[in-house]
Amino acid sequence: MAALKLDKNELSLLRPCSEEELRQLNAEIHTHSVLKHLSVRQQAGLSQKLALFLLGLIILLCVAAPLICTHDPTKFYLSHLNESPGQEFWLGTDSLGRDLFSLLCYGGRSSLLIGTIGALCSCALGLIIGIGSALFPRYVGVFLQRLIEICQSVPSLLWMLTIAAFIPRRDELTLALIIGCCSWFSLARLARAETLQLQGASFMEAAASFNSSVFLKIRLHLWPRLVSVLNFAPAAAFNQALLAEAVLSFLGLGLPLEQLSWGCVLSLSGRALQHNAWWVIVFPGIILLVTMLTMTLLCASWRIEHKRRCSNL
Amino acid sequence: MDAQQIKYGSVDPILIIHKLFLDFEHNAGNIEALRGVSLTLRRGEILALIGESGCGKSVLLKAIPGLNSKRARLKGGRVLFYPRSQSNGIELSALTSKQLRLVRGSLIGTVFQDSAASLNPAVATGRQLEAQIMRQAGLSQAQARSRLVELLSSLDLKDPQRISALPPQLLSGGERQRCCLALALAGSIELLLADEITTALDPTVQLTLLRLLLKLKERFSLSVLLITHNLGVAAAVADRIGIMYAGRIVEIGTAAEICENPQHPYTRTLFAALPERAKRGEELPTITGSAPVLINPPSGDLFARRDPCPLRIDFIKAPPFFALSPTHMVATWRLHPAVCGQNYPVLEELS
Amino acid sequence: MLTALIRVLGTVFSLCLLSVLIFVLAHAAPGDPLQSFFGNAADSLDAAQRLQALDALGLNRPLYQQYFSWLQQIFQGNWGMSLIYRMPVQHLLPLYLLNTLILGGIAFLLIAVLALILALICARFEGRLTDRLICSLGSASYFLPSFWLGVILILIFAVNLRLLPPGGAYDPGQSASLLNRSIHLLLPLAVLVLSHVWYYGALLRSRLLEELRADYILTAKACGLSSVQILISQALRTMLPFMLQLCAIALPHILGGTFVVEAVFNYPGAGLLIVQSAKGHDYNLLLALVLLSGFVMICSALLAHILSAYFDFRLRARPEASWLH
Repeated sequence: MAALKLDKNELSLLRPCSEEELRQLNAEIHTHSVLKHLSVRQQAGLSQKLALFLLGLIILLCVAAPLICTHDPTKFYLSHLNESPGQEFWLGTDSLGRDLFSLLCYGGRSSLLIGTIGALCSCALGLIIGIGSALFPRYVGVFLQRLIEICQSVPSLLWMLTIAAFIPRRDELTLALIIGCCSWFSLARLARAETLQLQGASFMEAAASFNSSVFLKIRLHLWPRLVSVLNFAPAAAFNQALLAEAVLSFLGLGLPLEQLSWGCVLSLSGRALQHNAWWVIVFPGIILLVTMLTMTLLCASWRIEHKRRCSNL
Repeated sequence: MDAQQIKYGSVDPILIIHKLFLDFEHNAGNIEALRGVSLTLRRGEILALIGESGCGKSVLLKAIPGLNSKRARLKGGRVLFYPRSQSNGIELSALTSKQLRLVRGSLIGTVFQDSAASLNPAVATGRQLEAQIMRQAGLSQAQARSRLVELLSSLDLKDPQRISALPPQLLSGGERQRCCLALALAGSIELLLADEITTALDPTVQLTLLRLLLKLKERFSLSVLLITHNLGVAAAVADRIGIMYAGRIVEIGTAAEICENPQHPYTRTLFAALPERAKRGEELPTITGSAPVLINPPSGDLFARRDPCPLRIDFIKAPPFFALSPTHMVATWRLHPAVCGQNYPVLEELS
Repeated sequence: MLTALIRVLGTVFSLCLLSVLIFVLAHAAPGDPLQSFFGNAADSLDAAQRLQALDALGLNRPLYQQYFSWLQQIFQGNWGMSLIYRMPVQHLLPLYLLNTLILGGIAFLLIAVLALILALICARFEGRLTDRLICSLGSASYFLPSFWLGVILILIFAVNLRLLPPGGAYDPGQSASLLNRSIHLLLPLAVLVLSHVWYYGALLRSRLLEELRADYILTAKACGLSSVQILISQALRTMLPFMLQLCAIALPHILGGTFVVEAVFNYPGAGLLIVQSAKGHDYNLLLALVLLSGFVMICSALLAHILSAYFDFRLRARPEASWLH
């Protein structure tokens, strides 16, 4: 049993606190705890900054195409067929003699436009139908659910091919709408599942007991939950639309070949294989890939990390 | 190891926790969940640990078989375990996870609070229990099944067939918690760690479960570390009671001593705040404030910040343990000779 | 039992809706309806002959009557005439469908197994280098457009290295040779698997990580199980219904992928047929394929639901009332 050694100063403190001291100490404690509770804000990481830079660069190239491109994308330079990348043609030419770099910049305009409009259309449709199928009473809800199910049972690409076959003349807007109207299924299903999950939640019962209106419930409870779960959706829809346009044009069912888009350039890869012209295949693919990756990375930074608990493994 | 045993010689410990420091890594800094906890659990006793949420009792319980998450870092101290088969003891804090796996389930059993979440919802209860019995006792499935029936009836479960066939979420709370106990008792364990096993049950079921716990202790020769925030539960079954606050033990003693003569201001306010002791017409006494956040905790006695009349030194230096009796130790400056007038022996740490 | 019956009835209802949709599309198809039956000879009919032909084919009757006779035709196996191939559709389909089945089926199995293995590895080593590496590589492979990947692989392996054939399902005359077929399948399979595996791998991984945060995993650890044992015996059991649902979603997804891959590699399967019929405005063939694929998907969704309900006690409970009221 060790003896306790307190020095004279500490011994003098073995008394109750005075009022003044208590007040002072409590004030200190308050600031101390407030400072400690400051959460660490998520700073934009290096990868997000890089993604923003690259995407901005691509958009800039497409928008400022007339200023940057040295050659006319529609002109056929017959004396420079299938030239590999060099001084004059930065990314080479295709088998028809068109400058690949200009093709990509001008083509980017159409592709990005189609991507954006297609994504907006698909997200809007998906959300409305998905939430509607969960919220509307009995028969309408069931009907919408069946609609989602049968639409999803056929691959999106197949729907797009079918409808594209029916519409012979396609311009950018039409193509974007076709793509948008055929890609909303999975988003609708997810939105429906999330809305349904709320049904069993206790706070919904509480809200009902307060007689909250439907719109209030949607705004307070449904919308934040949807945003946190489905925040990958805009980027995914954009990527899907971009890809769909590329595939459709590659298969010959997208934009007519006279028009320029990344998909049309990619559809030249069949002929490029015969000539072993790797630049016609590689460069458009890379620019498509980079656009999609940067878009996804940017949207990933908005995702709220659910670090609720640690893995129990 | 032997010197330690001599110190605790007369006591026959099964578990010794010695100055345990445990941190959790966090964005804003390290959370010091355990700040120098020392504890001895004697063979065959039930020790109840009481404290509010956030004081570190679950962390302490999980630290024994190493069940804390990957973010937990042991900063200092040891956990020593003395099963009957190993007279020299095992240092649990130094074992690798592979070695700890051999100890969990076979020598140390754990039961958690939420029985509904603690059992796999996609598998029938009987199957889960049988699998554990087969694993621990090395029996075939048929043998495991008959052992299961034995085990369930020793836990006072009337209809073992029905309970085995159902998935856990279709059982009642009491039945489920007993199944979790059965899961822990499947191996021939010597130490049972119970983390608030009665908290999620209603009072009548709580009492039955506690009586069952006493019966099981005798029948299976267990030593139990029981965590609870309910003083009544502790008083009903515990041999000794320990009070934890902010990652440290502040008072420990036999159940009688703690209930009749609490000395630490925290323990006193806990007892005063019991609804049973409230007088009609008067305001219910409570403890203001909330548990401190243990990131960079200040020095001194952390309870002083919620104490209505603290001592000045509580904000500066942490108190040592004053021993009121061979079994009753309290860590508070109020028992210093200059404050209370009595000369109690001083311990730097709990033994 | 009752819920299962309701489920089956709902499936039949979906199928009926699909058939109505297809029928409406078939009638909205631009072009001369007689062309799909008589081919180019339809152009040379005069007005009276046209009316006669339309009457004979029943194309003048009200729409709902046409729908039921169309349905009858479908069930009898008479699926119309293909313009491009100049054959009845029902004679054209089987060979091509078999090829797609081989490609799609093997790809489906490979993707399922690989995705599960990758997800398990990521869950076991969560947060560490292995996990991060797999995630980044996976995301990169997911973003590669599959047709571009196919062309690149053809460029590398067929054109430059000359190791593998650039397309087709088999060399002429060797349709029964398994070795030959396998060599031709290598590149298409590689493309299919690479472009789809991480989609499912990521879903499985995130669901697995969520499951690992549940309390029963901690109980299993407290019972003395190792990480691998916990993953396989505990986490996978609760994930089984989710995996079955993923299989149901995967079927149309992977099938959509085979269409593109078949077009790139000139693989004679249903996908190639679809692309050709869409380009050539062969509506009979196109719509027959759409109907067929829809039928297969809806039935497989039903099967997946039944199987997952069998495995999961949780799904057997009934959903609660809408919170609108």
